[in-house]
Amino acid sequence: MKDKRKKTKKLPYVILTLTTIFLLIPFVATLVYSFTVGWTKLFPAGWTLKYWAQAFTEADLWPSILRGLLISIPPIIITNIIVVLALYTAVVYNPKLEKYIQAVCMIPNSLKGVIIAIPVLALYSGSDTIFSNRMVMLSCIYCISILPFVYQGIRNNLHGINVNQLLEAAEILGAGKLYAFMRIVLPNMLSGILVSSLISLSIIFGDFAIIKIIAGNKYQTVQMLLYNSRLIVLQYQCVIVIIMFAATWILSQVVFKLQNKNKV
Amino acid sequence: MFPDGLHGVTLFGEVIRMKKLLQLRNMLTMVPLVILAVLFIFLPILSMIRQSLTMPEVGTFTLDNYITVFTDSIYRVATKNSLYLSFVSSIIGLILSFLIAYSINELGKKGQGRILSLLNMVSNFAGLPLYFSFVVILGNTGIFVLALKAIGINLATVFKLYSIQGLMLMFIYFQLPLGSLMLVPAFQAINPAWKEAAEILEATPFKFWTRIGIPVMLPSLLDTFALLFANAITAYATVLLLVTTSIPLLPVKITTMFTGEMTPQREMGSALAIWMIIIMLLVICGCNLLKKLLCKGGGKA
Repeated sequence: MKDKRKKTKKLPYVILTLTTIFLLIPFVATLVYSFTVGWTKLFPAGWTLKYWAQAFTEADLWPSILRGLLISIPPIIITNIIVVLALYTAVVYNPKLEKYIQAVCMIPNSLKGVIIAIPVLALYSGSDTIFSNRMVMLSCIYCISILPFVYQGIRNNLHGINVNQLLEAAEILGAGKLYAFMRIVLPNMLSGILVSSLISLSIIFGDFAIIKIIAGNKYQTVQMLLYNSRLIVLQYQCVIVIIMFAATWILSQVVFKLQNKNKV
Repeated sequence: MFPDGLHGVTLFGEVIRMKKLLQLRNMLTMVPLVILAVLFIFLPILSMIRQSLTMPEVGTFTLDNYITVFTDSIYRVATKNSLYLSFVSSIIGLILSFLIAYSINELGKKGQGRILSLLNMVSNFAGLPLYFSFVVILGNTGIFVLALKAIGINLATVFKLYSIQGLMLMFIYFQLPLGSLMLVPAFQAINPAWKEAAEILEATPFKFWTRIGIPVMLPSLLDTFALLFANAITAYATVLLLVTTSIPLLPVKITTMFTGEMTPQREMGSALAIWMIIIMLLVICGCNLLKKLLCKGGGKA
């Protein structure tokens, strides 16, 4: 039996090697290209750091990155609070409600990007409400689009820590409900909240469709900066792509580490 | 706490009422979620449905916008392109993801960690950055194109990035990490003992997978397909710069009708957006229905 396994084990390696190559080509090419003067023959014509220098001295780059991160803070806070409130009481007091919460929270998994931004824009853009403010609109749409991820993170967490037992124990020891929630349940949920918040952050940071539709050039994130630079030389765009990618990669690495730590 | 002069019966009623009140109070914490969903999912879509059924400028009820969606060649081509790209890329993505997830499952723990973190990393690589990367390698002056030209091969005769082929390649690229990451847990649901049992009964690996493995994983496969499809049909950033006019696609068409430089065509755009939502709902419901049907059949047998 062991011999058979060894024989069949070649195929997975072939598949995964091919996959890795296919998935890495665009990155490696982009990275290498950002250092070239031009590439019209088999090999690049020469090497330069000019475009990296240009990107780093570009006054708009860092503010744009910062804007992308800033805009994600209100939605992350709001959505986390909303989902914790809804799910906590559902799990503790009314488990029947959980499936409705799940149904609502999962909608943005399919209705996303364009399909969520356009209806909101159409409804509120001309209205006199506070939602006609593009920043408010943007934040609210982001709240919706991160809903599935926040929901999943918090749900797994609540079920993982066995809230009902914790609460019972706390009540036997004389703790009030609010006290038990604030001092015992919430601290236990923090790591889960952190993970889903970081995932949400990288989703909002990587969003282009919603920001283009709702804010256009009124709020220039690094995605919009990249879009606006589409007519500048390709090497410059490569540098921005790499910087953006590095930022999301660091984020996803942190998430990955945290998730694996939680599992153990 | 209770009003004076309560009899036993009313007291009992009061307790029930209190209990209900308490339950209602617990429901209060749902209110923010409901408000958020109503204001930014349900109301906008309902108003979009209403708008899609009104005549531009006149404001009376009409089905004309939908008739135009189905008859006007531009919208029909956009629908056809979107459907074709989403379906084919999701199916190819699903098959390749299946193979990748299978291979990951065969690896040791260390290798699994590595490849999962690679997939995780690449799953963030979509939209505009992905478009620019593909321009670098396969665009008109892409390094592959030029390098191949330098050795006498003209890639443009078989592959063009600025075509539906190019879109397909990019779609498959972003479907792979997502699909594989979703399918890896599904493989873990397959009990190794079943494989051994099948082996003892002299079933070939092929027979094992077609008769046992894939049927067991079918729910996950269908879920993954639905997700990949939704992902593909709503893709906007990836396609925006590549095919603005030459290949009409639903998301781009819809968006230009609301935010373009020309006068907005809200009613027509609404009809098109609702049409896209209907397509997505049909696919998702179809997958769910299939899941129910097949799972029931499995239960009976």
